Amino acid sequence: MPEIQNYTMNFGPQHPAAHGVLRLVLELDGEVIQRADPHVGLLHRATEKLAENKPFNQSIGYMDRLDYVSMMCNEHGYVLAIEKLLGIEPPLRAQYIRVMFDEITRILNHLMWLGAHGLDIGAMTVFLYCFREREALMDCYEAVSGARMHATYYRPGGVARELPDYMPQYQPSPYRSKRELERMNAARQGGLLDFIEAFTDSFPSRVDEYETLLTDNRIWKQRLVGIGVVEPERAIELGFTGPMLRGSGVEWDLRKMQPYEVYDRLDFDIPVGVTGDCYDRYLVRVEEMRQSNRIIRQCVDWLRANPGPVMLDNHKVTPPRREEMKGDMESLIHHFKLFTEGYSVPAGEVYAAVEAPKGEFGVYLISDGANKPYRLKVRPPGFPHLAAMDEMVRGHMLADVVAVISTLDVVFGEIDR
Amino acid sequence: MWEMLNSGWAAVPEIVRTPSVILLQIMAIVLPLLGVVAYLTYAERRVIGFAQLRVGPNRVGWAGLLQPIADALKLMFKEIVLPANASRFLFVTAPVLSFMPALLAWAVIPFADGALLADIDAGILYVLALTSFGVYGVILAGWASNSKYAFLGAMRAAAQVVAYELAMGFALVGVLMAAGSLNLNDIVRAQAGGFFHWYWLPLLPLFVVYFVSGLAETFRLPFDMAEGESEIVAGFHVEYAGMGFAMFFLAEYANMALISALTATFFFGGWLSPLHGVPVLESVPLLGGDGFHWFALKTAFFLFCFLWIRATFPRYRYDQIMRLGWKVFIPLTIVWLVVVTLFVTTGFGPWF
Amino acid sequence: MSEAIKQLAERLRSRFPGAAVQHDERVDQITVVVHRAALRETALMLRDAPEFAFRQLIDLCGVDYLAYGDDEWTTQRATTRGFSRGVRRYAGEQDPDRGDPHRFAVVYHLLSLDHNQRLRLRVFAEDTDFPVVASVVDIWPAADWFEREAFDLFGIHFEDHPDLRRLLTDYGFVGHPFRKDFPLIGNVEVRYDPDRGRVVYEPVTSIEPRVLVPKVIRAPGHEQPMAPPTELPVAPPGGPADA
Repeated sequence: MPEIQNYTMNFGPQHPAAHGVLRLVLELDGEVIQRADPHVGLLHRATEKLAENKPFNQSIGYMDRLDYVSMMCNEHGYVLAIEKLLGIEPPLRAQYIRVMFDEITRILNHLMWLGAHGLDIGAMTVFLYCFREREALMDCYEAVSGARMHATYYRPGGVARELPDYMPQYQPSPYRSKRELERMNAARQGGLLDFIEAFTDSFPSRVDEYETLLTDNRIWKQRLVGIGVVEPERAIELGFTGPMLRGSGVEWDLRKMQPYEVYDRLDFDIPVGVTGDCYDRYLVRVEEMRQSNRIIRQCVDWLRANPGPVMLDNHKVTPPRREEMKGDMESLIHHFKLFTEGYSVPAGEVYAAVEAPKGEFGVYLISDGANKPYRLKVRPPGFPHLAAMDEMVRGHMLADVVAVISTLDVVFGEIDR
Repeated sequence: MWEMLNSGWAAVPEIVRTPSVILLQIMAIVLPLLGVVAYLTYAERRVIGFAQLRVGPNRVGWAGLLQPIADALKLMFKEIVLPANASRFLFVTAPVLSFMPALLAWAVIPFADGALLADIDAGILYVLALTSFGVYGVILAGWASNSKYAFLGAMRAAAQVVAYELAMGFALVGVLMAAGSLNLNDIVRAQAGGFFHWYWLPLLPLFVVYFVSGLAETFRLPFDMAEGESEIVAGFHVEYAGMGFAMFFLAEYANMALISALTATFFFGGWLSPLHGVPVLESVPLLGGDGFHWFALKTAFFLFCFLWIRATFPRYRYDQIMRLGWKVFIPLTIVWLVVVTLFVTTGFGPWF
Repeated sequence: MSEAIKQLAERLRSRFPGAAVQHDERVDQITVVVHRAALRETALMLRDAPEFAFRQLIDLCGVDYLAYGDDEWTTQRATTRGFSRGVRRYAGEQDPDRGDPHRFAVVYHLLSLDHNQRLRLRVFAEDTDFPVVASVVDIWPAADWFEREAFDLFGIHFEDHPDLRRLLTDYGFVGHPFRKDFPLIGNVEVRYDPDRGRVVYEPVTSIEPRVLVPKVIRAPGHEQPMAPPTELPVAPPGGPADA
């Protein structure tokens, strides 16, 4: 009689539910997972090593490309680390802008996550619903930085530009009627803040739409409730952060516990799960979107009322304005030095963390006093989450692997770095 | 002229005449059916596009109407890839085996009163036999592909079809008891008398079970585990390309059309008009009169439901589908069969 | 928060007299440097003692101090060869036998959810040729992949790690890419060889190693190069006093 063996299956790296380039070696007994061994690193680009060979500012763009669905939050962590070592603090308006864009990024990330989660479970429609809102938020990125994804907007000492008073508009096309075009451009007549305000007005009802499709759907619940349960104690041990930790019922959010920028001035709540299964994490993330919307609204109101500089005037760190350069020798020299050599950061080491949408995004920076980081270590939130994959899927079925991968909200840009 | 043709036709020997008539009849069913299937793919993309706030295909021809033609051409000219170590004969046969039964079953569908290719008395049995035959193509495809994903898909398909074939069969037993006939034409006739005389009302649970089993039988969302694009990529047809893939695709859509037509026939009075017994409308020629248009309309409605459901629901998990099939549907149908027995013996309502 | 951090530093100093506890006032963060032999006891105590309760390991990473404090800027050897004038490359040319026992370090970032405090723990691997540090996987399960990553990128071995495989680099990769003497352009490149009909690995020929912006160490606000901080914080040998 032939020996009965487990079935080894290679899940990915070109698998539609692998969220990029995850290679998962699964050992199956029928459809039940006996062991899952994630192989990562297919997107390893040695970001940290590259950053060690560049002046500080040139690496900001690399940070966008780490977790490429929550771009500005990554920049924030890196910029915060540099600022701490330099001992500078950006102007208040810049802090509000950063917080606003952090929350826009959080919504962007959670929308991407929700859409992909739905798609993995088989609910295709919610994916496109989410992309409708993502499109608007991407336009905010575009308006403020010129790039829809990799913005490189945050700089040590503030943000790159003041918020623009115009929005990019849709162009005429043979497949779009004139009335439709006007409707699409209706919210884009004013400045960026008007656009964002209009967005915050409509967004809660959009979240209601997603919830109508999913939250009480029996199939959705059957697929998520009780899947990938992580006890709170275990979640702490495994180094979980962000919604993964809160989904397990641990009240921990850096925005509340170790507030950076102006989070201590804003009013928002932190949703916490109960059982630590996929469904709780889903509810936590959906509620986080609503809370982010609240924060954005408060930032818009403050930014309306308080004009001011968005960048420090310290030209040892921040570039002078172009007009100043034309008339002032000192400014020209500063500009030249900043863009050829960059600024030197005092020797020392620092760990700066922000609450990125996926969890704690930390940057550990060692400087030996040079114009380049001596060592840069990025602490990606998804890394410990994916490391716990094996534990979370053991004993579940093949279809649950897909649900767990997407509930982890993994993005390989940050895990592989 | 007509005289000449007629007499010429009469001169043709019987042995040639009958098959050529049948052949023409088959052509008259299969060719429009293929057109329906082709445009069903177009309709699916437009309907789901509408549900998902996007446009769907709108570039090829007016409003994208030539899209199915373009797709068909593309698939026809694509290379057929044979995977290494695949079982060649089965690999090539499987799509055919999957497509054939989907077409064969149309032989007993009454398009209008008496307008059916084969007026056989065991119509329901014939349909049941052929719809379950389709899964052989799927299983063979999964087996012959020499791929673990395809194999998993095939295993899932086999288990699923067994579970839902039973529920489907039981649901049809109810129809059979109500109509007292296995002949599809007679079943429709037995429902005569307006919207509320059709079997969907007394057999409502059986209708729901039948339609949902139909979804499972055709591997449509939320029961598309055999394909499960986010789990086992495309399941049984992951290794197919070009025409092989197109055959599976056609079979799936032909099966959808078949299930819709059967649902219309068994529970919604086939070609009958719903307006029998309504005072004024009854006498309006097209509205009140029975005919093919009602059959087409009802079929189209159920096809729309297929697409609608696909755009709305997430996918079940394997064990949940099994649970639904074995532990919910089969007991439900059995219970309702007992109820139907009572109905039949008491001669309840206008139906029995 | 500064007051709480100061108190934490005091507590750490009294609890671990054998370790170097530094409180960087500028960034308000504490670094504890322990000797290799005392790592596990320290880690256990940091996790379990209620006054510390660092139950979460946030991050673990390797650091290579080979080129610490070296700059790449020279005006003495200026040449007319164009782009890299005035640049000398340090990292690759560094004498690998500097004999510094403090070349490789492992840095742990701990978080106490109970006290809302962070702590950095550093341990030097002592041996440059075969750096070994005890694994903390059984203390903080989160360390599993982080240690694999540090092993992969720096070649630091973690004793008693249950599954110390490479994590990020390719299957069959040679070398430890984040070491300072590993060239940025890598050692091998891949291309498709039409003759052999497969992808082949070859020494790098298509890229010139070059420095785009030389590394310069300056005191902030001054134009003169500053003497690099040569003193690295090093723990005295031995373990905690009570061990």
